[in-house]
Amino acid sequence: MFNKQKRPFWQLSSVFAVIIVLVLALSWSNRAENAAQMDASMAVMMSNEILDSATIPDLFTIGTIESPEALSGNGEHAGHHDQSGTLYAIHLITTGLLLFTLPVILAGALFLAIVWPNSSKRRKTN
Amino acid sequence: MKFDFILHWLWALVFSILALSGIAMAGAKYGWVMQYDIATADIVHRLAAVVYVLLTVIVILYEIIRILRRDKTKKPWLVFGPSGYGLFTFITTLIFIVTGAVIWLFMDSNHAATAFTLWIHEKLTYLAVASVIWHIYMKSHALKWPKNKERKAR
Repeated sequence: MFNKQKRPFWQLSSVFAVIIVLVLALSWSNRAENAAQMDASMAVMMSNEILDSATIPDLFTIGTIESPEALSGNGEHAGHHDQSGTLYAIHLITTGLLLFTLPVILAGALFLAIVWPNSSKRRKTN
Repeated sequence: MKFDFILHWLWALVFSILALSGIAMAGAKYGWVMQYDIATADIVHRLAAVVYVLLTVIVILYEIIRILRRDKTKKPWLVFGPSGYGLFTFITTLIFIVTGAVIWLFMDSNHAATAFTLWIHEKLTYLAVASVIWHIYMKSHALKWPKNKERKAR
């Protein structure tokens, strides 16, 4: 029944199964587990709340839907977050890196999307 | 040790961290993955995402340099490729990065875009994790410790 070639996969699976059982056992008494009564994921809940009333132009318009967090001053960049702390510095550096690398990735991906089909055609003809 | 081999396993490590911290944040159902410490999961996810983006830049530049140098040597460990699982990883990575960037940058200013991209980001995570399990199953011979080869060499 078992393919001997695939034995490492089943060994790895059993290691992960043991880890999952241990983590579940550790979190068994965790009070926060009551939260698991909520069935929907964050993305599904957010989609149900916001996307039902949103239009396609809303996806491309900044600030049309007023954020309660931003209005109350508890948004990502304000409120309870310490704006002079290490966490905020990390946030600024990582956001900067993201903004710098995103155009490089998109340009590189476009280049590969153009070049890859031609290179695979050459390989087939050779 | 080959560069593509190192990149492959670095990629696997970062993807695992992203998957675990991401699933922990996905909903209350999966919070047990990180003992319901959502704040730590958020920081870990953001830091791992930056490493993931940097690794993507490195892999893309490496592939472009190989093409420009007309290097036709096979790189079986390279994460991106023009066909098969390499192409699947390339497309899913681009979607992960673009949707992740929208969530990161517009979380406070555009809730419609955030909700839409978060939905894609989450559903794609389940697809990518399932595909990784399939990938490990298909390539499980690579998990074997090379005992036979060492013995033969001796």
